[in-house]
Amino acid sequence: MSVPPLHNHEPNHEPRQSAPLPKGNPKLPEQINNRNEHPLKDFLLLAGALLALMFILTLLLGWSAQWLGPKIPYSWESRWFSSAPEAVSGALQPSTQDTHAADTARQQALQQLLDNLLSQQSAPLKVRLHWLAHEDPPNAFATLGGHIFVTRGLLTQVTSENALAMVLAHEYAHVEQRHPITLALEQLALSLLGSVIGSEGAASMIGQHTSLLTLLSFSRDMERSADQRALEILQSHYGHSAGADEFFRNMLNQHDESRWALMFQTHPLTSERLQQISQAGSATVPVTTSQLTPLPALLQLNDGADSKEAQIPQP
Amino acid sequence: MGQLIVFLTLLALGYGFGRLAESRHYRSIIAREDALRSLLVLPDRMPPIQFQSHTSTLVTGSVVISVDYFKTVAAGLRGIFGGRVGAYESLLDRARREAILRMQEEAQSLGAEAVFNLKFETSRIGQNAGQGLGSVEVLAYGTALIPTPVSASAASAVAR
Repeated sequence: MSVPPLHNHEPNHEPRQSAPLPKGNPKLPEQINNRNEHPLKDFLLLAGALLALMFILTLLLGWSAQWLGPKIPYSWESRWFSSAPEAVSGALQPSTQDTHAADTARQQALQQLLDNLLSQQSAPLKVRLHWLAHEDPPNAFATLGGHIFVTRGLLTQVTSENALAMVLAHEYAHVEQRHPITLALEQLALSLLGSVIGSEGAASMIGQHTSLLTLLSFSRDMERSADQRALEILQSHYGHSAGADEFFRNMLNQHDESRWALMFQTHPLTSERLQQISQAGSATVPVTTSQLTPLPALLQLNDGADSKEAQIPQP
Repeated sequence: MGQLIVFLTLLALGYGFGRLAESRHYRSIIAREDALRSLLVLPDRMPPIQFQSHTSTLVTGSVVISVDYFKTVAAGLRGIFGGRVGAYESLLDRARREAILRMQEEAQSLGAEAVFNLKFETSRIGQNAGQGLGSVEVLAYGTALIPTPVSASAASAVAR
């Protein structure tokens, strides 16, 4: 016989001679490819770690936004956002020429009221008021660039100038404390964070909700501090803060609220805000309703019986 | 808020039904593996001399198992921190063993004595419109060796 080649890679087509066949297939241990560990343990550990991570990151980003926001000069902000947001200003368009004149007059009256309020303040920021003539939910909000929007529904909810002034001053306080730009920075930072976490569907879901709840508490702090500042403005303009609670009291009468809902709301509970307002009031001279300033005729939409029957939709 | 409720509901459903299906499947796999233990499955490419004159045929067993929502989420979390994805490990373990069992069952129905040259293929099926929820297919295939009357006489001739 010749010497077999050392490296024989050719398949051996001869039947195998060696090793008797096993009796049966081996019974392999169960825990090699399927570890005997409760899946929930692993899951809860990871989810907890992610929650904690997102919470800390969101806090850090929120704090940086709160640090940076007020440092951006207001003149820059008003230049960047000099025109009112398109989506909202669309609602400003009046239907007829007639109402157009009335709406312009109302907007001017509101602007006048705010300017009067701020005349006592040193170096008030320039803000622009916008009148949303076709929005029924009672609401007012401030956006980037010092734009303040007031809905028609809000005027139906107030009977005195003081109550309206409280809302306007509150929105002005947001602008003054640079809350819109701070929130915008927070959202920018969060969307960056979200893209880092990835579009892993479920995982980013956990992250988003943690961030959202963390940020909501930020914005509730903003509301409280804006309320505080608004009371100061009222105090310096009228000499008292009576009537400031009227709007909130009306809102509370129409909507029940539960403490549980606080977790998911951008605003503090209305009852909590009322408490804060009444505390601020009791610290100063006692007030009576006779001290309230009536609304300018142009802004009176809450006329007697009509308003009591009016059903206000949920905000 | 609504999104969160949907998420948690899906998670709970995925966990509940996923665990139920997995433990049931493992019970079935272990019982059937015991029953089919004598039907040899070997990775060798060439059959030994005892099977020299058996006829051979291809036998396959394939299985598709869906990922449940809980597993997807658990794996997504693992994707952030890294490490062994236990949720998918048990899924693929089940799929491979089930595929072998189905292949063995086919071989048994053909009257085979053994299956040689076992091979696996694994593929991912579907992404459910990009939701990340997919299923896995495992295909096991091999050469079934079936004794024939002719080969039996030939084998006895060889033995003599």
